[in-house]
Amino acid sequence: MKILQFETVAAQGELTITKLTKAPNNIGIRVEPVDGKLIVGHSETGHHHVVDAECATLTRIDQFTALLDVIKMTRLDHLRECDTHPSIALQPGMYEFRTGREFDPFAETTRASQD
Amino acid sequence: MFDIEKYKAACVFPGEIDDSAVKIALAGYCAALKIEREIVRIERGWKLSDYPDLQRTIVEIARAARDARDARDALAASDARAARAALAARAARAALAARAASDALAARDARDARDALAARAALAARAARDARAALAARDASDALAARDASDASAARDARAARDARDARDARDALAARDALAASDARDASAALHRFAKWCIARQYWWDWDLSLISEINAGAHQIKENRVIAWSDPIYDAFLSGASFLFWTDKTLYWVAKPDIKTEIVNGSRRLHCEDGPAADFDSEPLYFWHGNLVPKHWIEAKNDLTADEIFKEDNAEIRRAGCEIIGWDRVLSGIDAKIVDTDGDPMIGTLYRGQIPGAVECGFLKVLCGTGREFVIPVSPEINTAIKAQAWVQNVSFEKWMRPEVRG
Repeated sequence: MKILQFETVAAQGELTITKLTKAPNNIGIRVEPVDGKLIVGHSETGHHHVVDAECATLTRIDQFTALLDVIKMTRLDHLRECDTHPSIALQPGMYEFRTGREFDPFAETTRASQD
Repeated sequence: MFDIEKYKAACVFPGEIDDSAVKIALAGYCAALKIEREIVRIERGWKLSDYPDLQRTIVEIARAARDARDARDALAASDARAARAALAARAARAALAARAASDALAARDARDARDALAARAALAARAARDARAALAARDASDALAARDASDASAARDARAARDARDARDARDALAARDALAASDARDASAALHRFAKWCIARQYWWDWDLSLISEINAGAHQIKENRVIAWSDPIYDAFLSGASFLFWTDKTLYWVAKPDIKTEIVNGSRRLHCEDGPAADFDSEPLYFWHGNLVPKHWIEAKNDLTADEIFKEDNAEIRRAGCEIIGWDRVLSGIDAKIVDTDGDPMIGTLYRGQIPGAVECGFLKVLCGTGREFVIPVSPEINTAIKAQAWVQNVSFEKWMRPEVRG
Protein backbone atom coordinates (compact mmCIF):
# COMPACT_ATOMS: atom_id res chain seq x y z
CA MET A 1 0.00 0.00 0.00
CA LYS A 2 1.30 3.42 -0.99
CA ILE A 3 1.72 5.77 1.98
CA LEU A 4 2.46 9.39 1.19
CA GLN A 5 5.02 11.36 3.20
CA PHE A 6 5.08 15.11 3.82
CA GLU A 7 6.84 17.74 5.87
CA THR A 8 4.39 20.59 6.41
CA VAL A 9 1.18 20.50 4.34
CA ALA A 10 -0.74 17.60 2.80
CA ALA A 11 -4.28 17.04 1.55
CA GLN A 12 -6.53 14.00 1.60
CA GLY A 13 -9.83 14.56 -0.16
CA GLU A 14 -11.56 17.52 1.45
CA LEU A 15 -9.06 17.59 4.35
CA THR A 16 -5.94 19.73 4.55
CA ILE A 17 -3.32 18.69 7.10
CA THR A 18 -0.78 21.19 8.40
CA LYS A 19 2.01 20.25 10.80
CA LEU A 20 2.22 22.89 13.52
CA THR A 21 5.42 24.14 15.07
CA LYS A 22 3.62 25.42 18.14
CA ALA A 23 0.81 23.51 19.86
CA PRO A 24 -2.21 25.55 21.00
CA ASN A 25 -3.31 24.76 24.54
CA ASN A 26 -6.70 24.23 26.18
CA ILE A 27 -8.93 24.81 23.19
CA GLY A 28 -11.59 22.64 21.65
CA ILE A 29 -13.40 19.53 22.77
CA ARG A 30 -11.78 16.13 23.02
CA VAL A 31 -13.16 13.65 20.47
CA GLU A 32 -13.73 10.08 21.64
CA PRO A 33 -12.68 7.20 19.37
CA VAL A 34 -15.17 4.99 17.55
CA ASP A 35 -14.19 1.33 17.23
CA GLY A 36 -10.58 2.21 18.00
CA LYS A 37 -10.44 4.98 15.38
CA LEU A 38 -10.44 8.74 15.66
CA ILE A 39 -12.65 10.20 12.95
CA VAL A 40 -10.71 13.20 11.72
CA GLY A 41 -12.96 13.77 8.72
CA HIS A 42 -16.56 12.62 8.90
CA SER A 43 -18.41 11.28 5.87
CA GLU A 44 -22.17 10.91 5.80
CA THR A 45 -21.71 7.92 3.55
CA GLY A 46 -19.37 6.25 6.04
CA HIS A 47 -16.15 6.95 4.12
CA HIS A 48 -14.46 8.56 7.09
CA HIS A 49 -10.87 9.76 7.29
CA VAL A 50 -9.41 8.11 10.40
CA VAL A 51 -6.31 7.54 12.50
CA ASP A 52 -5.57 4.82 15.04
CA ALA A 53 -6.80 6.03 18.44
CA GLU A 54 -3.87 4.39 20.21
CA CYS A 55 -1.46 6.70 18.45
CA ALA A 56 -3.07 10.12 18.85
CA THR A 57 -5.63 12.35 20.57
CA LEU A 58 -8.09 14.50 18.67
CA THR A 59 -9.59 17.84 19.69
CA ARG A 60 -12.29 19.52 17.64
CA ILE A 61 -12.25 23.30 17.59
CA ASP A 62 -15.16 24.00 15.27
CA GLN A 63 -17.04 22.51 12.34
CA PHE A 64 -14.07 22.99 10.03
CA THR A 65 -11.03 22.66 12.30
CA ALA A 66 -9.52 19.96 14.53
CA LEU A 67 -6.17 19.37 16.19
CA LEU A 68 -4.49 15.99 16.20
CA ASP A 69 -1.70 15.28 18.70
CA VAL A 70 0.21 12.32 17.31
CA ILE A 71 2.13 10.50 20.04
CA LYS A 72 3.23 7.47 18.07
CA MET A 73 3.85 7.34 14.32
CA THR A 74 0.66 6.45 12.49
CA ARG A 75 -1.17 7.24 9.27
CA LEU A 76 -4.32 8.92 8.03
CA ASP A 77 -6.54 6.38 6.26
CA HIS A 78 -9.61 6.81 4.09
CA LEU A 79 -12.27 4.18 4.78
CA ARG A 80 -13.45 3.37 1.30
CA GLU A 81 -12.98 0.21 -0.72
CA CYS A 82 -12.78 1.91 -4.09
CA ASP A 83 -11.61 5.35 -5.23
CA THR A 84 -9.74 5.39 -1.95
CA HIS A 85 -7.56 8.38 -1.15
CA PRO A 86 -4.00 7.15 -0.50
CA SER A 87 -2.93 7.01 3.15
CA ILE A 88 -0.67 9.71 4.56
CA ALA A 89 2.04 9.05 7.17
CA LEU A 90 1.85 11.11 10.35
CA GLN A 91 5.02 11.50 12.40
CA PRO A 92 4.72 12.40 16.10
CA GLY A 93 3.73 16.06 16.57
CA MET A 94 0.75 18.39 16.48
CA TYR A 95 -1.34 18.72 13.31
CA GLU A 96 -4.17 20.99 12.28
CA PHE A 97 -6.89 19.40 10.14
CA ARG A 98 -9.11 21.69 8.11
CA THR A 99 -12.23 20.39 6.41
CA GLY A 100 -12.93 22.02 3.07
CA ARG A 101 -15.95 24.20 2.48
CA GLU A 102 -18.05 25.07 -0.52
CA PHE A 103 -20.46 27.76 -1.56
CA ASP A 104 -24.18 27.05 -1.72
CA PRO A 105 -25.43 29.27 -4.54
CA PHE A 106 -29.05 28.56 -3.64
CA ALA A 107 -28.84 29.52 0.04
CA GLU A 108 -26.03 32.05 -0.57
CA THR A 109 -24.00 30.66 2.27
CA THR A 110 -21.06 28.37 2.84
CA ARG A 111 -21.12 24.85 4.17
CA ALA A 112 -18.67 22.06 4.95
CA SER A 113 -17.84 19.82 2.03
CA GLN A 114 -19.63 16.49 2.24
CA ASP A 115 -18.56 13.22 0.73
CA MET B 1 -27.32 -29.78 5.31
CA PHE B 2 -25.21 -26.78 4.44
CA ASP B 3 -23.13 -27.12 1.28
CA ILE B 4 -20.55 -24.41 0.69
CA GLU B 5 -20.53 -24.91 -3.08
CA LYS B 6 -24.32 -24.57 -3.30
CA TYR B 7 -24.10 -21.51 -1.11
CA LYS B 8 -21.45 -19.93 -3.36
CA ALA B 9 -23.63 -20.62 -6.40
CA ALA B 10 -26.62 -19.09 -4.63
CA CYS B 11 -24.59 -15.93 -3.98
CA VAL B 12 -24.55 -15.28 -7.74
CA PHE B 13 -27.71 -13.26 -8.27
CA PRO B 14 -30.41 -13.55 -9.35
CA GLY B 15 -30.16 -17.27 -10.15
CA GLU B 16 -33.31 -19.34 -10.34
CA ILE B 17 -36.27 -18.04 -8.33
CA ASP B 18 -38.48 -20.93 -7.22
CA ASP B 19 -41.54 -19.35 -5.65
CA SER B 20 -43.08 -22.50 -4.26
CA ALA B 21 -39.77 -23.76 -2.81
CA VAL B 22 -39.22 -20.45 -1.06
CA LYS B 23 -42.73 -20.55 0.31
CA ILE B 24 -42.25 -24.07 1.67
CA ALA B 25 -38.88 -23.17 3.20
CA LEU B 26 -40.18 -20.04 4.90
CA ALA B 27 -43.21 -21.91 6.19
CA GLY B 28 -40.73 -24.38 7.69
CA TYR B 29 -38.84 -21.49 9.21
CA CYS B 30 -41.99 -20.16 10.89
CA ALA B 31 -42.85 -23.66 12.08
CA ALA B 32 -39.37 -24.02 13.63
CA LEU B 33 -39.98 -20.75 15.47
CA LYS B 34 -43.44 -21.97 16.49
CA ILE B 35 -45.18 -18.97 15.01
CA GLU B 36 -47.74 -18.53 12.28
CA ARG B 37 -47.34 -16.20 9.35
CA GLU B 38 -48.72 -16.09 5.84
CA ILE B 39 -45.81 -16.26 3.38
CA VAL B 40 -46.12 -13.63 0.64
CA ARG B 41 -43.72 -12.54 -2.09
CA ILE B 42 -43.43 -8.85 -2.88
CA GLU B 43 -43.81 -8.84 -6.64
CA ARG B 44 -42.24 -6.49 -9.17
CA GLY B 45 -44.45 -3.48 -9.82
CA TRP B 46 -46.17 -3.95 -6.47
CA LYS B 47 -48.68 -1.53 -5.04
CA LEU B 48 -49.14 -1.10 -1.34
CA SER B 49 -52.88 -1.59 -1.74
CA ASP B 50 -52.18 -5.12 -3.01
CA TYR B 51 -50.68 -6.00 0.37
CA PRO B 52 -53.19 -4.92 3.03
CA ASP B 53 -51.24 -6.26 5.99
CA LEU B 54 -48.09 -4.51 4.83
CA GLN B 55 -50.09 -1.33 4.28
CA ARG B 56 -51.47 -1.50 7.81
CA THR B 57 -47.95 -1.90 9.23
CA ILE B 58 -46.53 0.94 7.18
CA VAL B 59 -49.36 3.24 8.26
CA GLU B 60 -48.67 2.26 11.86
CA ILE B 61 -44.99 3.19 11.45
CA ALA B 62 -45.89 6.49 9.81
CA ARG B 63 -48.35 7.31 12.60
CA ALA B 64 -45.76 6.51 15.24
CA ALA B 65 -43.34 8.83 13.51
CA ARG B 66 -45.95 11.56 13.28
CA ASP B 67 -46.95 11.15 16.94
CA ALA B 68 -43.32 11.43 18.01
CA ARG B 69 -43.09 14.69 16.11
CA ASP B 70 -46.32 15.99 17.56
CA ALA B 71 -45.23 15.18 21.12
CA ARG B 72 -42.00 17.05 20.67
CA ASP B 73 -43.76 19.95 18.98
CA ALA B 74 -46.13 20.23 21.95
CA LEU B 75 -43.20 20.70 24.30
CA ALA B 76 -42.17 23.72 22.33
CA ALA B 77 -45.68 25.18 22.21
CA SER B 78 -44.98 27.85 24.81
CA ASP B 79 -42.32 29.28 22.54
CA ALA B 80 -44.53 29.10 19.49
CA ARG B 81 -45.64 32.74 19.42
CA ALA B 82 -42.11 34.11 19.67
CA ALA B 83 -40.88 31.58 17.17
CA ARG B 84 -43.64 32.48 14.73
CA ALA B 85 -42.75 36.15 14.93
CA ALA B 86 -39.09 35.39 14.44
CA LEU B 87 -39.77 33.09 11.55
CA ALA B 88 -41.93 35.69 9.86
CA ALA B 89 -39.06 38.15 9.94
CA ARG B 90 -36.53 35.79 8.52
CA ALA B 91 -35.36 35.58 4.95
CA ALA B 92 -35.89 32.60 2.68
CA ARG B 93 -32.48 31.32 3.61
CA ALA B 94 -33.55 30.88 7.23
CA ALA B 95 -36.70 29.13 6.12
CA LEU B 96 -34.62 26.71 4.11
CA ALA B 97 -32.44 26.00 7.13
CA ALA B 98 -35.50 25.43 9.30
CA ARG B 99 -36.87 23.07 6.73
CA ALA B 100 -33.59 21.14 6.72
CA ALA B 101 -33.68 20.86 10.51
CA SER B 102 -37.27 19.73 10.37
CA ASP B 103 -36.38 17.14 7.76
CA ALA B 104 -33.63 15.76 9.96
CA LEU B 105 -35.97 15.41 12.94
CA ALA B 106 -38.60 13.81 10.79
CA ALA B 107 -36.08 11.30 9.56
CA ARG B 108 -35.06 10.43 13.09
CA ASP B 109 -38.64 9.97 14.21
CA ALA B 110 -39.49 7.80 11.26
CA ARG B 111 -36.35 5.74 11.72
CA ASP B 112 -37.11 5.23 15.42
CA ALA B 113 -40.66 4.20 14.67
CA ARG B 114 -39.61 1.82 11.96
CA ASP B 115 -36.88 0.33 14.12
CA ALA B 116 -39.25 -0.16 17.03
CA LEU B 117 -41.67 -2.13 14.92
CA ALA B 118 -38.86 -4.09 13.32
CA ALA B 119 -37.54 -4.98 16.76
CA ARG B 120 -40.99 -6.11 17.83
CA ALA B 121 -41.21 -8.28 14.75
CA ALA B 122 -37.85 -9.78 15.57
CA LEU B 123 -38.92 -10.57 19.11
CA ALA B 124 -42.09 -12.12 17.82
CA ALA B 125 -40.00 -14.31 15.59
CA ARG B 126 -37.93 -15.31 18.63
CA ALA B 127 -34.80 -14.76 16.61
CA ALA B 128 -33.45 -12.34 19.17
CA ARG B 129 -33.48 -15.09 21.80
CA ASP B 130 -30.92 -16.98 19.77
CA ALA B 131 -28.89 -13.97 18.82
CA ARG B 132 -25.74 -14.81 20.73
CA ALA B 133 -25.61 -18.41 19.57
CA ALA B 134 -26.47 -17.32 16.07
CA LEU B 135 -23.68 -14.77 15.95
CA ALA B 136 -21.18 -17.32 17.25
CA ALA B 137 -22.37 -19.71 14.60
CA ARG B 138 -22.02 -17.10 11.90
CA ASP B 139 -18.49 -16.22 13.02
CA ALA B 140 -17.53 -19.88 12.83
CA SER B 141 -18.80 -20.11 9.31
CA ASP B 142 -16.66 -20.80 6.26
CA ALA B 143 -19.33 -19.05 4.26
CA LEU B 144 -18.26 -15.56 5.30
CA ALA B 145 -15.45 -15.44 2.77
CA ALA B 146 -17.63 -16.96 0.08
CA ARG B 147 -20.18 -14.17 0.33
CA ASP B 148 -17.70 -11.31 0.44
CA ALA B 149 -16.97 -11.12 -3.28
CA SER B 150 -20.44 -12.05 -4.42
CA ASP B 151 -23.60 -10.50 -5.79
CA ALA B 152 -25.11 -11.21 -2.39
CA SER B 153 -22.62 -8.86 -0.81
CA ALA B 154 -23.27 -6.22 -3.47
CA ALA B 155 -27.01 -6.54 -2.92
CA ARG B 156 -26.53 -6.00 0.77
CA ASP B 157 -24.35 -2.97 0.03
CA ALA B 158 -27.15 -1.60 -2.11
CA ARG B 159 -29.69 -1.86 0.70
CA ALA B 160 -27.19 -0.34 3.12
CA ALA B 161 -26.64 2.60 0.79
CA ARG B 162 -30.37 3.04 0.49
CA ASP B 163 -30.64 3.11 4.25
CA ALA B 164 -27.70 5.44 4.74
CA ARG B 165 -29.17 8.32 2.83
CA ASP B 166 -30.63 10.34 5.67
CA ALA B 167 -31.52 13.22 3.41
CA ARG B 168 -33.64 11.06 1.16
CA ASP B 169 -35.03 9.27 4.20
CA ALA B 170 -36.10 12.62 5.52
CA ARG B 171 -37.97 13.46 2.38
CA ASP B 172 -39.71 10.09 2.50
CA ALA B 173 -40.52 10.48 6.18
CA LEU B 174 -42.06 13.86 5.54
CA ALA B 175 -43.90 12.41 2.59
CA ALA B 176 -45.37 9.75 4.85
CA ARG B 177 -46.52 12.33 7.34
CA ASP B 178 -48.01 14.35 4.54
CA ALA B 179 -49.63 11.22 3.19
CA LEU B 180 -51.50 10.67 6.42
CA ALA B 181 -52.90 14.16 6.24
CA ALA B 182 -53.42 14.32 2.50
CA SER B 183 -56.90 14.88 1.19
CA ASP B 184 -55.99 13.63 -2.26
CA ALA B 185 -56.06 9.86 -2.06
CA ARG B 186 -53.74 9.35 -5.02
CA ASP B 187 -51.05 11.63 -3.55
CA ALA B 188 -51.39 9.92 -0.19
CA SER B 189 -50.99 6.51 -1.75
CA ALA B 190 -47.83 7.51 -3.63
CA ALA B 191 -46.24 9.06 -0.54
CA LEU B 192 -47.05 6.05 1.59
CA HIS B 193 -45.65 3.73 -1.06
CA ARG B 194 -42.36 5.66 -1.05
CA PHE B 195 -42.32 5.41 2.73
CA ALA B 196 -43.00 1.67 2.55
CA LYS B 197 -40.00 1.15 0.26
CA TRP B 198 -37.86 3.04 2.73
CA CYS B 199 -39.11 0.88 5.62
CA ILE B 200 -38.49 -2.36 3.75
CA ALA B 201 -34.93 -1.37 2.88
CA ARG B 202 -33.91 -1.20 6.55
CA GLN B 203 -30.66 -2.96 7.49
CA TYR B 204 -29.69 -4.84 10.65
CA TRP B 205 -27.62 -7.93 11.14
CA TRP B 206 -30.90 -9.65 11.90
CA ASP B 207 -32.69 -7.68 9.27
CA TRP B 208 -33.37 -10.72 7.28
CA ASP B 209 -30.75 -10.64 4.58
CA LEU B 210 -30.79 -14.33 3.81
CA SER B 211 -27.22 -14.52 2.53
CA LEU B 212 -26.18 -13.35 5.97
CA ILE B 213 -28.48 -15.62 7.95
CA SER B 214 -27.40 -18.56 5.82
CA GLU B 215 -23.89 -18.00 7.13
CA ILE B 216 -25.34 -18.62 10.57
CA ASN B 217 -26.62 -21.93 9.27
CA ALA B 218 -23.16 -22.87 8.01
CA GLY B 219 -21.60 -22.04 11.35
CA ALA B 220 -24.37 -23.79 13.27
CA HIS B 221 -23.56 -27.02 11.46
CA GLN B 222 -19.85 -26.54 12.07
CA ILE B 223 -20.28 -26.14 15.83
CA LYS B 224 -23.30 -28.51 15.97
CA GLU B 225 -25.64 -25.96 17.50
CA ASN B 226 -28.89 -27.86 17.00
CA ARG B 227 -31.17 -25.13 18.32
CA VAL B 228 -29.89 -22.74 15.65
CA ILE B 229 -29.79 -25.43 12.96
CA ALA B 230 -33.51 -26.03 13.49
CA TRP B 231 -34.50 -22.58 12.29
CA SER B 232 -31.56 -21.70 10.06
CA ASP B 233 -31.83 -24.78 7.83
CA PRO B 234 -35.08 -23.55 6.25
CA ILE B 235 -33.63 -20.06 5.90
CA TYR B 236 -30.69 -21.52 3.98
CA ASP B 237 -33.16 -23.44 1.80
CA ALA B 238 -35.11 -20.24 1.11
CA PHE B 239 -31.88 -18.49 0.09
CA LEU B 240 -30.93 -21.33 -2.24
CA SER B 241 -34.43 -21.14 -3.75
CA GLY B 242 -34.17 -17.46 -4.62
CA ALA B 243 -35.19 -15.34 -1.62
CA SER B 244 -33.03 -12.30 -0.91
CA PHE B 245 -34.49 -10.75 2.24
CA LEU B 246 -37.56 -10.72 4.46
CA PHE B 247 -39.89 -8.16 5.99
CA TRP B 248 -42.07 -9.08 8.97
CA THR B 249 -45.46 -7.90 10.04
CA ASP B 250 -47.64 -9.32 12.78
CA LYS B 251 -49.50 -11.56 10.35
CA THR B 252 -47.31 -11.94 7.29
CA LEU B 253 -43.75 -12.81 6.38
CA TYR B 254 -42.98 -10.98 3.14
CA TRP B 255 -40.04 -11.99 1.00
CA VAL B 256 -38.22 -10.30 -1.84
CA ALA B 257 -36.51 -12.25 -4.61
CA LYS B 258 -32.81 -11.91 -5.36
CA PRO B 259 -32.18 -8.91 -7.58
CA ASP B 260 -30.20 -8.69 -10.78
CA ILE B 261 -26.92 -7.02 -9.79
CA LYS B 262 -24.67 -4.90 -12.01
CA THR B 263 -21.20 -4.12 -10.75
CA GLU B 264 -17.84 -2.98 -12.04
CA ILE B 265 -14.40 -4.02 -10.82
CA VAL B 266 -12.16 -1.19 -9.68
CA ASN B 267 -8.75 -2.01 -8.20
CA GLY B 268 -9.94 -5.50 -7.46
CA SER B 269 -13.07 -4.35 -5.64
CA ARG B 270 -16.64 -4.66 -6.88
CA ARG B 271 -18.85 -1.65 -6.80
CA LEU B 272 -22.40 -1.15 -7.95
CA HIS B 273 -22.70 0.62 -11.26
CA CYS B 274 -25.00 0.65 -14.25
CA GLU B 275 -25.22 3.45 -16.80
CA ASP B 276 -28.62 2.59 -18.27
CA GLY B 277 -30.68 0.88 -15.57
CA PRO B 278 -30.83 -0.22 -11.95
CA ALA B 279 -27.62 -1.68 -10.53
CA ALA B 280 -29.54 -3.53 -7.80
CA ASP B 281 -32.85 -4.46 -9.37
CA PHE B 282 -34.90 -5.50 -6.34
CA ASP B 283 -38.58 -6.23 -7.00
CA SER B 284 -39.29 -4.13 -3.92
CA GLU B 285 -37.40 -1.13 -5.29
CA PRO B 286 -34.87 -0.91 -8.12
CA LEU B 287 -31.81 0.99 -6.90
CA TYR B 288 -29.59 3.02 -9.20
CA PHE B 289 -25.86 3.41 -8.68
CA TRP B 290 -23.23 5.41 -10.50
CA HIS B 291 -19.73 4.13 -9.73
CA GLY B 292 -20.80 3.04 -6.27
CA ASN B 293 -22.99 6.04 -5.43
CA LEU B 294 -26.73 5.71 -5.00
CA VAL B 295 -28.47 8.19 -7.30
CA PRO B 296 -32.13 8.96 -8.03
CA LYS B 297 -33.81 6.74 -10.61
CA HIS B 298 -34.46 9.49 -13.12
CA TRP B 299 -30.80 10.51 -13.15
CA ILE B 300 -30.17 7.23 -14.97
CA GLU B 301 -33.50 6.48 -16.64
CA ALA B 302 -34.03 10.02 -17.96
CA LYS B 303 -30.53 11.40 -18.03
CA ASN B 304 -31.21 13.53 -21.09
CA ASP B 305 -33.72 15.50 -19.04
CA LEU B 306 -31.38 15.90 -16.08
CA THR B 307 -30.35 19.51 -15.65
CA ALA B 308 -27.33 21.14 -14.05
CA ASP B 309 -29.45 23.05 -11.55
CA GLU B 310 -31.02 19.83 -10.25
CA ILE B 311 -27.60 18.29 -9.79
CA PHE B 312 -26.34 21.31 -7.90
CA LYS B 313 -29.29 21.13 -5.51
CA GLU B 314 -27.86 17.84 -4.25
CA ASP B 315 -26.05 18.41 -0.92
CA ASN B 316 -23.65 15.49 -1.12
CA ALA B 317 -20.50 16.19 -3.12
CA GLU B 318 -20.08 12.57 -4.20
CA ILE B 319 -23.64 12.37 -5.48
CA ARG B 320 -23.28 15.78 -7.11
CA ARG B 321 -20.09 14.62 -8.80
CA ALA B 322 -21.94 11.50 -9.95
CA GLY B 323 -24.65 13.70 -11.44
CA CYS B 324 -22.08 15.84 -13.21
CA GLU B 325 -20.41 12.74 -14.61
CA ILE B 326 -23.75 11.39 -15.78
CA ILE B 327 -24.48 14.43 -17.91
CA GLY B 328 -20.78 15.33 -18.38
CA TRP B 329 -18.83 18.22 -16.90
CA ASP B 330 -18.88 20.16 -20.14
CA ARG B 331 -22.66 19.92 -20.23
CA VAL B 332 -22.85 21.00 -16.61
CA LEU B 333 -20.75 24.08 -17.10
CA SER B 334 -22.04 24.86 -20.57
CA GLY B 335 -25.57 24.21 -19.33
CA ILE B 336 -25.19 27.16 -17.06
CA ASP B 337 -23.11 29.03 -19.64
CA ALA B 338 -20.11 29.08 -17.32
CA LYS B 339 -17.06 30.98 -18.51
CA ILE B 340 -13.44 30.18 -17.70
CA VAL B 341 -12.03 32.82 -15.38
CA ASP B 342 -8.62 31.33 -14.63
CA THR B 343 -6.67 28.14 -15.31
CA ASP B 344 -3.78 27.02 -13.13
CA GLY B 345 -1.03 24.88 -14.64
CA ASP B 346 -1.56 22.31 -11.90
CA PRO B 347 -4.78 20.29 -12.49
CA MET B 348 -4.95 19.70 -8.73
CA ILE B 349 -5.26 23.47 -8.31
CA GLY B 350 -7.72 23.42 -11.18
CA THR B 351 -9.70 25.73 -13.45
CA LEU B 352 -12.06 28.38 -12.16
CA TYR B 353 -15.33 29.00 -14.00
CA ARG B 354 -18.06 31.50 -13.33
CA GLY B 355 -21.69 30.84 -13.98
CA GLN B 356 -25.22 31.01 -12.65
CA ILE B 357 -27.52 28.11 -12.01
CA PRO B 358 -31.18 29.07 -12.56
CA GLY B 359 -32.72 30.01 -9.23
CA ALA B 360 -29.36 30.65 -7.62
CA VAL B 361 -26.82 33.46 -7.46
CA GLU B 362 -23.85 33.66 -9.82
CA CYS B 363 -20.74 32.09 -8.31
CA GLY B 364 -17.45 30.41 -9.14
CA PHE B 365 -16.99 26.72 -9.92
CA LEU B 366 -13.59 25.18 -9.31
CA LYS B 367 -13.00 22.17 -11.54
CA VAL B 368 -10.22 20.22 -9.89
CA LEU B 369 -8.49 16.84 -9.98
CA CYS B 370 -8.43 15.03 -6.62
CA GLY B 371 -5.91 12.54 -5.24
CA THR B 372 -7.92 9.59 -6.55
CA GLY B 373 -7.62 10.89 -10.12
CA ARG B 374 -11.26 11.95 -10.36
CA GLU B 375 -12.52 15.41 -11.30
CA PHE B 376 -14.79 17.38 -9.00
CA VAL B 377 -16.54 20.69 -9.41
CA ILE B 378 -16.74 22.70 -6.19
CA PRO B 379 -18.93 25.81 -6.04
CA VAL B 380 -16.96 28.72 -4.55
CA SER B 381 -17.75 32.23 -3.39
CA PRO B 382 -18.62 34.76 -6.14
CA GLU B 383 -15.75 37.16 -5.33
CA ILE B 384 -13.02 34.58 -6.04
CA ASN B 385 -11.15 35.34 -9.27
CA THR B 386 -8.33 32.80 -9.57
CA ALA B 387 -8.13 29.03 -9.20
CA ILE B 388 -5.41 29.25 -6.57
CA LYS B 389 -7.43 31.73 -4.52
CA ALA B 390 -10.36 29.36 -4.83
CA GLN B 391 -8.17 26.65 -3.27
CA ALA B 392 -7.42 28.95 -0.31
CA TRP B 393 -11.10 29.86 0.00
CA VAL B 394 -12.12 26.18 0.03
CA GLN B 395 -9.65 25.60 2.88
CA ASN B 396 -11.00 28.65 4.70
CA VAL B 397 -7.62 30.37 5.02
CA SER B 398 -6.45 33.68 3.63
CA PHE B 399 -4.59 33.50 0.33
CA GLU B 400 -1.50 34.94 2.05
CA LYS B 401 -1.44 32.08 4.57
CA TRP B 402 -2.41 29.32 2.16
CA MET B 403 0.30 26.77 1.30
CA ARG B 404 0.25 24.39 -1.62
CA PRO B 405 0.01 20.79 -0.33
CA GLU B 406 3.19 18.79 -0.87
CA VAL B 407 1.18 15.61 -1.43
CA ARG B 408 -2.47 14.90 -2.17
CA GLY B 409 -3.89 11.66 -0.95
